[in-house]
Amino acid sequence: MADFNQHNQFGSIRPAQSPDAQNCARFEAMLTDAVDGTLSAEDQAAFDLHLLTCTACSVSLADAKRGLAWLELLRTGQPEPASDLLQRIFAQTSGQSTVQKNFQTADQEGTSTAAAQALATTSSEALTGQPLGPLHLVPESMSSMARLGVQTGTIGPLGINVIPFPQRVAARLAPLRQTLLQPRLAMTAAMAFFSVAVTLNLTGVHVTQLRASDLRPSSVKRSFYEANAHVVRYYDNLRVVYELESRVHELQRPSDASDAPASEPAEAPARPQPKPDTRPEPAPDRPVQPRPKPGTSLREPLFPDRRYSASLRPSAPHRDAQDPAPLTFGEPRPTQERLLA
Amino acid sequence: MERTPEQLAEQEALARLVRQCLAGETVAWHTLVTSQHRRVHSICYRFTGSPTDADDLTQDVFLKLYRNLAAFDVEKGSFNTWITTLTRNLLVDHFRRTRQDRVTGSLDASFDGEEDGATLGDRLADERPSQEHHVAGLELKVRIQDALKQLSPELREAVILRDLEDMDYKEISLVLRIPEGTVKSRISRGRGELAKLLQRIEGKVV
Repeated sequence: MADFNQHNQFGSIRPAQSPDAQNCARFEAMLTDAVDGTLSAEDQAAFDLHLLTCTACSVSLADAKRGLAWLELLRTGQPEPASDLLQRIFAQTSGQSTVQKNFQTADQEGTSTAAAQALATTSSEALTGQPLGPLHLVPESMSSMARLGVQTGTIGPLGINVIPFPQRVAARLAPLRQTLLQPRLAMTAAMAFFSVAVTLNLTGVHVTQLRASDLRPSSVKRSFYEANAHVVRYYDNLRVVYELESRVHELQRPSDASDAPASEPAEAPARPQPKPDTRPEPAPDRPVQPRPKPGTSLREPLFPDRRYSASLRPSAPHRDAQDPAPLTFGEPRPTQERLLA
Repeated sequence: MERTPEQLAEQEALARLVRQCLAGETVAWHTLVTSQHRRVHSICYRFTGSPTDADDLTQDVFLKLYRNLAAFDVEKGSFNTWITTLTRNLLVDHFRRTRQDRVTGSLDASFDGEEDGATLGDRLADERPSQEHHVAGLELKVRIQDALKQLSPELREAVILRDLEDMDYKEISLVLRIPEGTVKSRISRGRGELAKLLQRIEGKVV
């Protein structure tokens, strides 16, 4: 194996080949101890042996020794700290007792607070021998506190950091706002808003055209009834509904003389319709009118008596009292029949 | 951990100081800061290469120390290790924060980012030796410090703690939270790279 590391054809020494690479890793780990001279005798012998054959490791050892020599030169003559460094440190740590309360983590709560307060009671006057007024502390502690990201309010007479209320509320809300602005929550909120807007659009409320006057109770009611009427109209005009109704008509015609009242309740459970308000209410003496051709939905003017016009009618409270859907029983019957003709 | 009697005595004295600080004695805190601030400042300066940064970081170290004093547990280790760990962590944070500043246009950065490539500073440097010996001595120290600053941070911190602060391998492994073997290999590599960086001026050192 050692032959590989001897001279090649051109007479130059080749660096260690890969068979020795694993060894090199082992000897690299010994390098520091070799420089220190703390290798055991047998380790040292093995190391020396390896160095004979491995130029890379020899170079590493030489470099390490040289680097150590350079570093020794750095030991002396390091720059002095700033002359006021100690002052700054004491000012910072003595003036921070109550602020510290705001920032301690749970595990430091007890002893550290007591220590800090005790340290703060003997002010820095004792340390420097000169009275340091609160003014002297204020700019330093505020700037250093600001540097540390502490919320600074005004420094009160006792050196207490008084943070005004709006700042505290804002600080309380800031993380909340940051949480809310996370993409997923923002998307959810956007989707919800979008859905609500679309729904309102469908019901006839246009968000962009909304005015303050629209929020009056009467306007709200009007919009509500309009939306309701719109929906009812839509269902009324559905072909399916129409077909069902005409079917029912046919069934009832033979029995309309005597069974009309009885058939009604029978029909009620028998026809689970989505819209109970479109249930036909045949009167016994209703004339049979020719059915309009299929494919048309127009039968008559829809609201001849302007039933669903936008005005407060005396019947409105009555309807509200009964049912959210105003078109069920009671009054609308005659109109309904005409619709179904 | 084997310690010499002097080290043990020093450790005990520090532990007593800490207890006094926690008990509220301002003078104890004063003594603690005064006795430790040079060492902390030295580590910070050697790592950052900037005296102003070193001052600011030293201040931050002691502030953090002050706020977390109660968390120090004598049973868990020496105060020295703890304060060095605090210092080192703040240095790492500072390094990460200032990474952006280093990416662009540093005179010390070589063209391709290689450590051994000709740096812009090298190309612009005046190669003639200085006449004044003490100036040359200062220049030398400045150059060594610059070379140290060019090491990658992991190697830099290992080398500083071992060769400049004389900490033992066990303690360094506690501070850096790496195994002792890794500590040793980083020290070797750091020394070696420093030597390579300074190869250029070797011939001029008398």
